[in-house]
Amino acid sequence: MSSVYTDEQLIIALTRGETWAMTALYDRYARLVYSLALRMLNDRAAAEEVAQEVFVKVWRRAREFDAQRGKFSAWLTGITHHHAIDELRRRRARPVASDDEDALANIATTAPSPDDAAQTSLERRRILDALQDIPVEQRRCIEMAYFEGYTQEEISERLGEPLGTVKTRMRLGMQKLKVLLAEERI
Amino acid sequence: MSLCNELEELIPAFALDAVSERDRARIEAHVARCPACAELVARYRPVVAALAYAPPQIEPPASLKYRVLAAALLKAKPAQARKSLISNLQSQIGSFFRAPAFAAAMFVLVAALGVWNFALQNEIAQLAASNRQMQSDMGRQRALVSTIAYAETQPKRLQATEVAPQAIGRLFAAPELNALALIVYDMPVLEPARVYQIWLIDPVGERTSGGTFTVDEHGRAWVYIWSPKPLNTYQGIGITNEPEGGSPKPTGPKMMGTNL
Repeated sequence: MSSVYTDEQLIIALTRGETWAMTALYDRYARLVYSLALRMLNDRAAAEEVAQEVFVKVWRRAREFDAQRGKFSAWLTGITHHHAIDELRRRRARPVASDDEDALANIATTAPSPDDAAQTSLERRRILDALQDIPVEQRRCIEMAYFEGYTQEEISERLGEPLGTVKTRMRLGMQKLKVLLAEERI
Repeated sequence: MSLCNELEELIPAFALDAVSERDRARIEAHVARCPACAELVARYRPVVAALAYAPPQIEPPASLKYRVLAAALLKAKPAQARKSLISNLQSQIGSFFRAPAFAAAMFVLVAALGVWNFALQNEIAQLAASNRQMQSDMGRQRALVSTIAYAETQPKRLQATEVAPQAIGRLFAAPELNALALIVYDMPVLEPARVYQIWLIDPVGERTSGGTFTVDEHGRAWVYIWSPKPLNTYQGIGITNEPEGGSPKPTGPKMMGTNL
């Protein structure tokens, strides 16, 4: 029933303290938020914790969302990414055991299951197609930065590649992704 | 190589939050005064946002939804912070003065400080809450006054239903502000955990929430309604009685309504 409302309308309702809008936004975006946090943290409990923090933040700070600066989904995934990166960096400073060693999958080389494919959003197909179209070395650098929270220097150390090479791969990969995603929209 | 050219090469990595602290500071300072580079950063934001969709989509456990909703709606618990403050104070003092005489004296002192601290924290929390409420009320009143001032026509009279036959309602429409001001009197006093909800009704009968409100002991309320679409999109409004927090669609009895 709530699908008739746009994200912006639901956000307005949130700013008025209407709790049904929170339920509607959760139903719409919980999978996206949880899946991103799980991919980054490789730990179900930590991913749940991040998802909870993200939605509480959306509830309390709905007024800070500015539709002029971008889509709500981008704001939401930005908050999720930020929280998960904070958690990753905390863990690196004080490592903790992960409970989901088998959950970490290389996103661009994993074929979606039939169920997963059926539910895959248009957005997901767009980015997976684009990622498949860039060289694997560039993709790896982008994945390590976005999903694992490494800086270019850290990626250089971990891959044993010169820093300049990592910088070039990341730049070229992102430039190509930008073009591919823009072409998709046309 | 100009600074723009040099930093332009780093901007894709900056968008990924993968540059060093030093480079991040340089880029942020530069972008703040260079519209062209700021535009380039903005063009990479959708790329970064799109990456969030790449992981396999996995359904979170059902229990998470209830935990999220409970956590979101839970009021702040200053009592926990107070407890933590007092216990920290106690442990710090205890480590300095371990002699029994000191311990006895300190116990009394800490207890007194604890009571004093509790009272002060409570007072601060009440003042802060009161301040937030006053600011919120003032904002609403300003919006209401503006709406009434910009109203293009005479206020419309709301028709009460048999559920609230004595209720009186007046509605001021300000299309220029995309807003309505609603004033009601003699509405039935609400039961606990119930609110009145306003519905904006379009020509096909679709209802869009216009917000919720409560009334005082005399059934009075002044309500500012911001319309999510141009006001002329809607042809009427209605008010229903709904559970606290509102509903996505009307579920309770209609109290009043009017054409726009």
